[in-house]
Parts: sequence; structure tokens; C-alpha cells
Amino acid sequence: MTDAVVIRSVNKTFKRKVVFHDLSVTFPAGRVIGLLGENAIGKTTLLKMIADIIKPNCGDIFIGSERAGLATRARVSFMINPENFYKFMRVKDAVAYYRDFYPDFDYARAMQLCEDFDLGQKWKITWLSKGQQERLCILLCLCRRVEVYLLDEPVAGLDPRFKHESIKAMLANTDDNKTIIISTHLLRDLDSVFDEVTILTRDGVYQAACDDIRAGGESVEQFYLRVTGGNT
Amino acid sequence: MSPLKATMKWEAIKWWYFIGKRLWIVVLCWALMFLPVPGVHWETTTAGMAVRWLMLLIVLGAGLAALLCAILLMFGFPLFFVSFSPSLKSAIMERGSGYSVGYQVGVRMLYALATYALSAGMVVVTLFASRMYARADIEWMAGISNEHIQYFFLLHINMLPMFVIALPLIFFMIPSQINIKSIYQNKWYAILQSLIIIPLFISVPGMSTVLFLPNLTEGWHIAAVWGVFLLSMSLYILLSIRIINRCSEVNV
Repeated sequence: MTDAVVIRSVNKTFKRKVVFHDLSVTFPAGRVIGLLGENAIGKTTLLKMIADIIKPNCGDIFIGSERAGLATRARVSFMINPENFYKFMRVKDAVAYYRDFYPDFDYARAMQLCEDFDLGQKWKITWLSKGQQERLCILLCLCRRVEVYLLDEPVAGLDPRFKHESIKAMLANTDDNKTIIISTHLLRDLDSVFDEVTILTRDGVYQAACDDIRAGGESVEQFYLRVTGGNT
Repeated sequence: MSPLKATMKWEAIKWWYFIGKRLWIVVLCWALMFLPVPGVHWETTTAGMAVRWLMLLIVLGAGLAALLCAILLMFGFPLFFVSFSPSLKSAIMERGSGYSVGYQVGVRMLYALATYALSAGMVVVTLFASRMYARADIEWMAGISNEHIQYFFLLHINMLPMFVIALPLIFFMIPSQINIKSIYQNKWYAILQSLIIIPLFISVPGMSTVLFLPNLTEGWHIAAVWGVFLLSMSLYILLSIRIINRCSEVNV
């Protein structure tokens, strides 16, 4: 199995706060990977570094065999936060924006997902509820045709129906070449989606296949709590 | 759509939403400003008094227009930097597209310049209007015997609209600049730049006096005003270049 993302000896600090020290981890291609860890452990920072939105202080990040940089941004789709949209934008503007800037954007699928996600084309983004904004962000991220998808807390604000719709849309993106990395705390909602989990802890990184976890008689949540020292 | 076309299209849309939509108010104020007919002898006739009151109203209109210019400039200045550097807001979306930063910066610069041209045009028109009022008031002040009081009034009448522009800029731009410190990655650049803006905009009203009332200013005044203006402008440009370079280092 080839690696979609390789992170080698990465250090990242924000002023005096050390987020990562000598972090090395790989994410295999064609898998849905849950990126887990306690608050402020660096999950979002890691996703942003993979997306080349922020740079590590030192170390290497590869997307496939190519070092993360300007060129790899065309191969990685990062789920943005709703506040990154311009205030004047409506749903159709955001979709058009993506269509114009990303040659790999699947406009027809975006239109379909707008219907599935109950998002009106003319609705102003700032007027949307948190859940609706999240749905729009998921939609835009998934409608690109790329190798790696990075979703940061994608279903945190969604009701059960739209969680289901979002998971369905995510699974529609999976194939042998596409990797989806999902950072989340909602393990019960997403553990059926994951092929693997990567857990960031203060002591290091733990990776395991979900099939192996389940074969050991544990749920993903129980495994996570055991690794992070929580009570089961 | 090509990266160039996409950038141009969305910069134009942003420009329209941030600035273009507010233009009609400015046009209305300008129309009010240019209503009076200079040369009417108002001191002795009822009609003249009516014109004088009208002029006063128009001065208020000019002030309002100047304020609007200030608001536009307030939009224009942050836009200038946001345009020069990939803003935090668009960084994730646009830069995520894999297009080079330099490519987008070029197009954004064009729109920033258009914004500047517009703002500068409005400032010039306001200046001419203020000159018109100053000329009108020369007649009114002819009765004042004290030369120094005359000088004081003339100077400030001429400078007033520009002060109306400068003051909101000074007070509102500082927080707005600090707000976009995330673009600079360093609040001290933003603060320093804001501090440089203050003498720059104070010197601009002074310049208007020098340009429009040259016979009322002394040599040292002209030198001081031009000195402050050129120095602060130079520092401003140098710092902007430093910030642009810093922003080009990718870390957003």
C-alpha cells in the first residue's frame, strides 16, 4: 500500500508553545482515517500543514512523493471554516468561487449536494445556521477531485439526518487512490466510516486499523480512551 | 476558467461589494457641493443672504462628502494591503488552488490601484470645492482688520475638509490596521505603519494649503509640510515593501 501523506521529523511551534516535536507519521492511500486526540494537541495544525496552509518549523511533509508546497495544493482539498467566506457571498457564489478557482471542482455534483443538504442557492452564507454552514463547507471540500481530503470536525454541528447525508457524501469520495483524513471528537458518529485511526497524544502517535480494534473486542472510542489514559 | 480570469472576476466582485455599492451616496454629495454659483454679492441683498445659507448647507455637504471619502479610503487602505498580500480570508481558498501568489498579487494590485485612483479623485474634487468656499469667504473676511485672524481663518477653512478626511482615518485606521495584523504576522508592523500614517495625513491638509494658498504661506511652512509628507510617504512605502516580502514568505 502506498502512502498518501508522509510526515517526517516535523517540529512546529507557535511562539513558545511547542505543538509538535519530531513528529513522524504516515497516512496510507485509499483509506478513511480518523485523526483523534485531545483538544489543543495539534490536529488542526497537522491538517493545515498537510494542506500547506501553514509551514512546519522544520521537517518534511510529502503528498505522495512530492514535498508539500504550492504544487501539492492542487492535490489536497481542505475543508475551510465558514468564516473564511466573504460576507457578501451566497451559497451559489461560494460554489461559483470554487468552480472558478479549482479546475478539478465537480460543479454538477455540488449542485446535487446542495439539494441533498437542503441548501438554497440564494441563501446568504452569513445568515445560515452553524449546521448549514458546515454542510456547505463539507460539500465544497468533497466536490473537488483530488487525492487527499482533509476534514476538520466535519459533523460537529449537524443533526442526525445531515450527519448521515454527510457521511454518505464522504464515502462516495472513497476509492483506491483517495485518502480522507477526518479530525473529530465524535467517535460514535464516525467510527463506522473509519478504516484506520491515528491518535495524537503527548507521548506519541498511535495508529491502528479499525478492523483490528474491533477484532480485539473494543470500539474505536474504547481504544481511544485506553490509549489516551481515559476511563473506559 | 483561467487563474487570471478567476482572480480578476472575484476581485471585481469584491471591489463592487466593498466600494462600488457606496458610490451613489458620494455622487449625491458631490452634486450638492457644486450647486452654488460663486460671484454672487451676498452681503447686502436678501438673495445674497439666501445664497450664503445655501453655501453653509453645501459646506455641510462637502463635509459629508469628505467623510465619505474618508470611509472609502478606510476601505481602500486595508484593501490595499489585503490586495497586496494574500488575505487570511482568501488564503485558504485561493492559495489552496495551487496558483502562485505572485500571479494573484499582480491582478489584485490593479484593483488596488483602481481603488486608489477613485479615492484620490474624490479627494481632489473635495479640495477644489474647499478652495471655492475659501475664495468666497475671502470676500466675507475682507471686513476683518486683523491680518493674523484672516490668515488663521483662511488656513483652516481651506484645510477643514481635509481634516474631516484625516481625523477619521487616524482614529479608525489604527484599529482596522491592527485587526489585519494576522496578515502581517506581526502586530508591530501594523502599529508602526499606523503611526506613520498619522504624520502622512496631517501633512496632506497642510499640502492643500500650500498648493491652493501659496501666497499665504511662508517658506518654512512649505518645507515642513513637504518634508513631513515625503518622509512619512517614504517610510510608508518602505514598510509596505517589507510587509509584502514578509507575506510572500508563504506563512499566513
